[in-house]
Amino acid sequence: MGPLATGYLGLVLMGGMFLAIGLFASSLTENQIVAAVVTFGILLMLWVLGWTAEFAGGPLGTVLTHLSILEHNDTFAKGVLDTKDVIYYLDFTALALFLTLRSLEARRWAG
Amino acid sequence: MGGLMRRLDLAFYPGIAVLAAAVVQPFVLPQQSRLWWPLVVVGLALVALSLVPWVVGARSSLGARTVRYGFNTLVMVVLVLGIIGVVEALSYRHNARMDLTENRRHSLSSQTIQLLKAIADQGERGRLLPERPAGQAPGRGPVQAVRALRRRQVHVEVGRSRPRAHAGQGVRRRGLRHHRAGGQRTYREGAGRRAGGEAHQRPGEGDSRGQAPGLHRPGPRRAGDHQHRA
Repeated sequence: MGPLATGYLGLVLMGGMFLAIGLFASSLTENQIVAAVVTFGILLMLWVLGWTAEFAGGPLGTVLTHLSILEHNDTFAKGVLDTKDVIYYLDFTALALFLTLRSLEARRWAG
Repeated sequence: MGGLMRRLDLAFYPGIAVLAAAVVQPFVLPQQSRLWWPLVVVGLALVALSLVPWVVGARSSLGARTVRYGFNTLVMVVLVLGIIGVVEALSYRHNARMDLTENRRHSLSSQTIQLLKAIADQGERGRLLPERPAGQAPGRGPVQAVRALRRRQVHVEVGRSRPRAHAGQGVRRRGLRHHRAGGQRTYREGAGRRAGGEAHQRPGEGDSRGQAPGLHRPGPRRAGDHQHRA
């Protein structure tokens, strides 16, 4: 039961983060295709950060590993609930929503 | 003024051409390596000059209100990024973990933790995990085990205990450990001794990659300990 619950929780948090990033990309442009490609690019970058961490090593490798989506999702999938993974998803979701808000506000005064 | 701006605008294409020449120069004229930096500097200067008309035009089209709002937004974004960075760093350092699996299969048992603490209290150190072959990326298991121990206040040092394998010598797998602390290099005889008693350490050993974690609680210095200034 535990791994199932954490797996679903991880999926919900990751999905929320993906949606928030997609919303931000969508707020940058009026073209849906461009928004989709930008979202895909951002998520792909976050996805492959974990691979580059192995080459970087040291503190930079630690930071890159922490920024990778895969690392955090693995923990949920294993049935382990870690606060740092929850905070990671919530942080990025909040950041993407904040940037979306700023982007929409900028449309008003930027013309 | 307008003619000058037009000429500056045209500087973009020569700039790109000069930068392209800088890119191909190491392949076409490798013996003229001293040309590379001048080509890069001139190319960048030309491109920068070509941007001057664009900047002037943008400044005239932007109003004071737009610039002020834009600056405010930029400051807010930077502040939020900083806050999120701090929160991430804190959550990474001070995290709580709940293993919801059956029998807590992804956590160390309390007996293991007690045993490891006891080993650490005795000032002993030992290899917990096997070495991995050179070039192989560290697995997640050892890293997570070390993190779990550190969360339980067990002092874990991660160090490579693989001595340099000299050809023709039967070198044991365990040898001297190399620690870096405050600009000092410390060589301590740890889990084992190398055959022949030679105390070599490969430069760069002791970094965080390619290592087998060991336990260490600072204890009384032993006769085998010796230090070198870096």
